[in-house]
Amino acid sequence: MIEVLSAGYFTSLQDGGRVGYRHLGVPVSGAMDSKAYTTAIALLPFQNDKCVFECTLLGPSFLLHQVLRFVLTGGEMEAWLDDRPIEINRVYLAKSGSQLRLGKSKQGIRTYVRFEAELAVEKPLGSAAYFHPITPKIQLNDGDIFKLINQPQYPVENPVHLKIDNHYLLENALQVTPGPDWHQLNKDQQHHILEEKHPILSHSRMGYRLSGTTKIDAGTLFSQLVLPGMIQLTPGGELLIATADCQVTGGYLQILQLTPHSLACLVQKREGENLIFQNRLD
Amino acid sequence: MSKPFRIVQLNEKVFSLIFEEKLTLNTSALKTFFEAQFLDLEEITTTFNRINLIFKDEVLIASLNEKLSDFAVEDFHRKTTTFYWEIPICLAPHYTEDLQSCFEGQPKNFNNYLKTFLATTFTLEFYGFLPGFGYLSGLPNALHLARKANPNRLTKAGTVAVGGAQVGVYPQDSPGGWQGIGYCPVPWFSPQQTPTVFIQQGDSIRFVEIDIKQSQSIALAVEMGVYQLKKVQL
Repeated sequence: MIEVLSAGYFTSLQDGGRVGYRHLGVPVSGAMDSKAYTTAIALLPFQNDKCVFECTLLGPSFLLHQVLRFVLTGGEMEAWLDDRPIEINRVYLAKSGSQLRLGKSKQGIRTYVRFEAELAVEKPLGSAAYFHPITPKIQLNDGDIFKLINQPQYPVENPVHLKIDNHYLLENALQVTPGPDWHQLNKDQQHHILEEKHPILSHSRMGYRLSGTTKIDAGTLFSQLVLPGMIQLTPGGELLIATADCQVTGGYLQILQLTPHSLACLVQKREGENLIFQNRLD
Repeated sequence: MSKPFRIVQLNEKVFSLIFEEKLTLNTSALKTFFEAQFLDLEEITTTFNRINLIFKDEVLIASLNEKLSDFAVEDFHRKTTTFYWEIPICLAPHYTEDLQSCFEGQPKNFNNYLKTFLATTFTLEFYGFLPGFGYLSGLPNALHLARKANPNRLTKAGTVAVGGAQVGVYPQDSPGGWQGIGYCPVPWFSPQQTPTVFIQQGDSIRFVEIDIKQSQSIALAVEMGVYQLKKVQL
């Protein structure tokens, strides 16, 4: 059993996402940072379960009621196993009764905790990923309990050793390819968007909102498919970058698309940081 | 001759077939067809003039072009409407604030707008945006409203809204770029029920005005699980 002593600023249960329900308007969800998620699964490849806890800015504290292996991936966050500081991307074995405490984000803003056990959680529409109202909860609360229905026999042989490169957390230049509406901008506007620095105004699991000064009136458009990593331009000049919980369809100009790598870089950025785009086809 | 389309790549796994004009598609028939053609297809969705193919792995556009060289969209048109639904809408002043700003100083146009809106029959084209957000077509040209320049931070669940030529009901609180023109107390999506949506693609819809008292009693009946929408088989 895993007990949530304190939930942190915004912690949610995530997995690979809820695939196959876009035709009902259901977003895919799942871990925001696919790179960190893949790393977490690779370091603790426990077949029966693909869940991770996604911790944002200020992490949670867990009381582990049994022996359990775990790993932290993604953004670097202060973390202690009982009173011992612990590192990112390294598998630890916790004794029963241990406390895993996460503090403030140091580099990046989203850190993933993966426990090597199958959590007894509902999977509405095939996924445990928190997304209201598909799941009743949006985020963890103090006192939440996660029962474990399956875990490996310890000691486990052959722990996985991988060399993980976390440099992506430092990248501020995001690689883009043209989106379906890129040609609706003239050359000057295209250059301007690629040269200008774009500060992050706000963000949530739905997307990032960036400021910009390119304004074009595209008239009224039909809503079209929106995908994580897609960059939309509003008539007011803001750039909306879709992320994991993004709406399934939307009607702003779809000007650019982030590469999967740059999408992982983006979701580790915080409000106020400046981003630039680089056209990968240039 | 079949309708022309172009294939646009959105990312390494996602492609859209883009047609010149709006289509009236039968998505489930398309799904059967494309799943037989492409074994690694993860999902297929339709929007007004596009068919969107989402694959599990990277796909080359050349192979898609080849396989779809004689694809005829005409084979997948919807035939007839099966159901007609009456959807309650409350037009109390605090639900029509966006529309009031669109018609500031023009009370007559404001009233005419709502009158025409209530006389319009809409068709559910597809679901998108958020769970259970149905895109409705049929809004007369004169009633089209431009989206907000930048989306607001919170549009309340139940808001009936217009975005360009499109109409929809926000199923949950969300940032929103459409203009709110009323409130519908009946949710269109129930995650705990199967099927999760009751209005099907191609169904007809009319909005029927209710006052704030009726809206509250409908909301209560919905909460108790005893509310039934008016539905007619055509």
